[in-house]
Amino acid sequence: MSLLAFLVACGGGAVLGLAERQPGRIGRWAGPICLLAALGAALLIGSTTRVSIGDVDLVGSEYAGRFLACAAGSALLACLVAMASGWPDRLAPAALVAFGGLAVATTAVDAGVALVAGAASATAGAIVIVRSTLRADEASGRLAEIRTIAVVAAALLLAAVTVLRPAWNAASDGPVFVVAFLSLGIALAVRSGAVPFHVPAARLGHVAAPLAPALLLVWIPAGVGLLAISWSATTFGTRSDWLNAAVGVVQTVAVATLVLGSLAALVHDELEEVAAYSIVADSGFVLLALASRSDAAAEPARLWLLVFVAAKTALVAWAAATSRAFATSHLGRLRGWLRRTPLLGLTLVVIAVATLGWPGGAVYEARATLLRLALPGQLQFLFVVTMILSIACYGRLLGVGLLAPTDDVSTARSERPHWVGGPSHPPRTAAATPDTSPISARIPDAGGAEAELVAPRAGDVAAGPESVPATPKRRRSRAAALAQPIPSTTAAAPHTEEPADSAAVSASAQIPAPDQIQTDASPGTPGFRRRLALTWRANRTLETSLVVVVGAAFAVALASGQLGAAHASQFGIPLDAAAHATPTPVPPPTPAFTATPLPTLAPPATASPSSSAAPSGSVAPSPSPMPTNLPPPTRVNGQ
Amino acid sequence: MIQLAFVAALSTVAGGIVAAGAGDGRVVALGLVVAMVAAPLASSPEPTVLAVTFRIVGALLAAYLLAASARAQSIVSEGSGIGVAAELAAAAAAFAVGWFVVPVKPLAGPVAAQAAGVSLLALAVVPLVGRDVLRVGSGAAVLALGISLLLEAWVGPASALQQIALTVLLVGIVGATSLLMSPSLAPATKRHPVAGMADAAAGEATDETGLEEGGRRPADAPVPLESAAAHPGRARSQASTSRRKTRQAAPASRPGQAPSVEEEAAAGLEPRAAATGSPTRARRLHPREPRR
Repeated sequence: MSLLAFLVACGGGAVLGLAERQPGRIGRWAGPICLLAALGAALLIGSTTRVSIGDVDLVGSEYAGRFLACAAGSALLACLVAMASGWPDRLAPAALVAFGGLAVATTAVDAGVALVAGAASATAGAIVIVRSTLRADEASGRLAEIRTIAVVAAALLLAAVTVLRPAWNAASDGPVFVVAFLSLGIALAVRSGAVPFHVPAARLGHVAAPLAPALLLVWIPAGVGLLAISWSATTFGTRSDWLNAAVGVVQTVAVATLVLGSLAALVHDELEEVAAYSIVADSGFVLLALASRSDAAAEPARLWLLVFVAAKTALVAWAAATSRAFATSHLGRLRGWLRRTPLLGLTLVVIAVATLGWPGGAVYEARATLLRLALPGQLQFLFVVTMILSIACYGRLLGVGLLAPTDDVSTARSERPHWVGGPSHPPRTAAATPDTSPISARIPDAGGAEAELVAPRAGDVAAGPESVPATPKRRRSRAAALAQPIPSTTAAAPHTEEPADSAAVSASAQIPAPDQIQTDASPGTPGFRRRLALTWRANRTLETSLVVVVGAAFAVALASGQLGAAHASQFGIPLDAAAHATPTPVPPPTPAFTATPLPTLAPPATASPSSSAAPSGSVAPSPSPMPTNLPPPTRVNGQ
Repeated sequence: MIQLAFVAALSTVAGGIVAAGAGDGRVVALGLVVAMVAAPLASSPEPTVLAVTFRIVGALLAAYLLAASARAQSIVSEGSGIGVAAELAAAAAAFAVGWFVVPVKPLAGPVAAQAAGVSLLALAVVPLVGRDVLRVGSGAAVLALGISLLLEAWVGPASALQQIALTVLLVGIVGATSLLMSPSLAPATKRHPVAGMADAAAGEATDETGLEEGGRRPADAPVPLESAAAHPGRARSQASTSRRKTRQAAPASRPGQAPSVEEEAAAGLEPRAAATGSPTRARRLHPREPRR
């Protein structure tokens, strides 16, 4: 029932969010509300959850529930950051579409259904590749996204064809499994932006909606990775030459992604690019999990995927919040950001801790285990290299924040709480707290239209922190404009009937201090609710930072194995059980699967040796399906 | 007796040829809807009525999305990159290969489905390597259809849930194509700041292409060069109206004086060669013609 509720929440939210052409009140709130409902439903998904659609069951598991809850919770935090930053874009509907597909993919026991649903979820990325400009580079972003969708869909479908094991008319299945392995690897590498395919990922900051990298580089690749590693230890556990060569290719890509991605994050100056390359570098561990082909890698890979989703979403949100707070995303202009926004600095430290872990910590051990199992002994030093590069990247960001502030940083609003117009808080003098943020005001002219005045704040202008910041809205209600304690509007109430030209002249005059504003406008002093609303608007930076802090705290809790992450990672998704129930290409006569017919003895009526009498002939649960709430079984190929 | 699977396979290939070779977005949508409706019928035994109904509804929805987007933007792609005759030949050859070569023995589905799947795979190759979003998207849809047919031929008929998932995948691919090929489907981006842009500046920010509220371009605004290159159909439709207005507004050249370049353009004439007398033609603003 909870799984059905999750699917309904995802579908309903996506339809509500996408059906509205102009994002309005419904479209703006439907996404977060449905994400919240999906989060609640995902928390209830357990091993007893079961939904039957046709002849295929969707079976929940503890890890599937945790994974979906982690994704939905991270998406909710990202959407809150987007709303607080003035970007109520299509991130929530796109996330809901993707999560609906991933819910089917992670709970289906049929490999064909799971891989097709995973491919369908990857198409949601197109929703956030939307910019109204027509520049050539943005057109290339569209082309890159549709190519990515095509490659991921084709690769996952090809993997489904080969994993489902038709009765090949060939001497051995080796080349077929090479195709399947490479298909899964290509789908994962292309969607996560691994190094040969990293250019579209790096350009996401220019071609996609804000916070879109969370969807395109974190949530969808994590789901695809979860599907891919289900067969790593079983189907691809054979040690044929061709398969070893394919594994070598994936290992090379993973190592290049780990090292070059970290280096690129270290040398780039745009926050979006730094965040994107950091995500790309850490996605190399998922490729390592695929290349390890060991059951021992399954548990750390699952834990890493949970932490990856939470921590990297928090990193994307941090980059967006920082860019929003200082109106720039270039590191050269962000010097001193840490002094103005210490909460964001704390968040970055927490994100680094959650991503890298600490010796003895769950995520630290997971990363070390993945690298140890996937790479030969000569390359084990790469673990230290990646740690150093990642620490250097985060340290560089923090170091830039400690430098002397630039003008952009100085003129931005800090995280210090502001209270607008409260009599209980005496206004501060201008000399004590010089606030240099630009002032904007709206004055309705005679025709009823509104004119916006942006007065650059001079150094001698006395304005305290009670002034209301510039807001991203171009249009607002006249009542809000009147209520705004901006000098040229509130203080000069008789001027409201002036035409825009004279208003501009008045705006260029000296702007009185807010305490003077309150005095002058005493007959129209806003009420408590209005002051509360104004205070809410005046503290957007603080609110955004607090949301990002919550996301980072969530990530570090997962990284330490709390919130059920470590426990749930011991169990797989139903697809793991189906993959383990399917015999390996060169099946050893292990006692555990003696009842399962060998591939060469497959009955001609059904294509899959282990399949039941289901008409699809696909990988259905074995006659004795492995319960998903039990620890994963030992390897069946004897390796 | 002609089997339904054979007819459906041929219909699927015909739809794929149209989708992969047509230039008009609406014709591409028509080809896709034929292929998507016929594809599930190529399996044996036939899927349930509910599954077929779902596939048909999904095909209609996908075609509507593509046709609506193409109609609103007058999007026309370059069409087939190798010519329709070559597409037909490639499809026929691949169909024959799929009919006679049997890599899976025994086949779990009809051989017609395998032949149609191989044929669709061959048809999807050329669009996928192009640089047009519409063609890449239609190629991706044709490719997904082809692999699904191979899945049904080699593994067996898809389950009901797999049919639903396939439908969602195809609708997702076509919907993504319709989103990505339409340049003005981001009404919110004008009103909200880009990362790194100040609030006030973002509020004032009219992007450099001069789009109006809602992402629409003003009626009299010129189409940028990149836009004209990427979407020649829309550029043509806009040029047809602006020429008339320009002709009415522009002063006529005096008798005996050669018309200016703008007047020539307004009159729909071919631009003159350079003033140096070089016989070279003026630079073309539309994309390169497809190879025949």
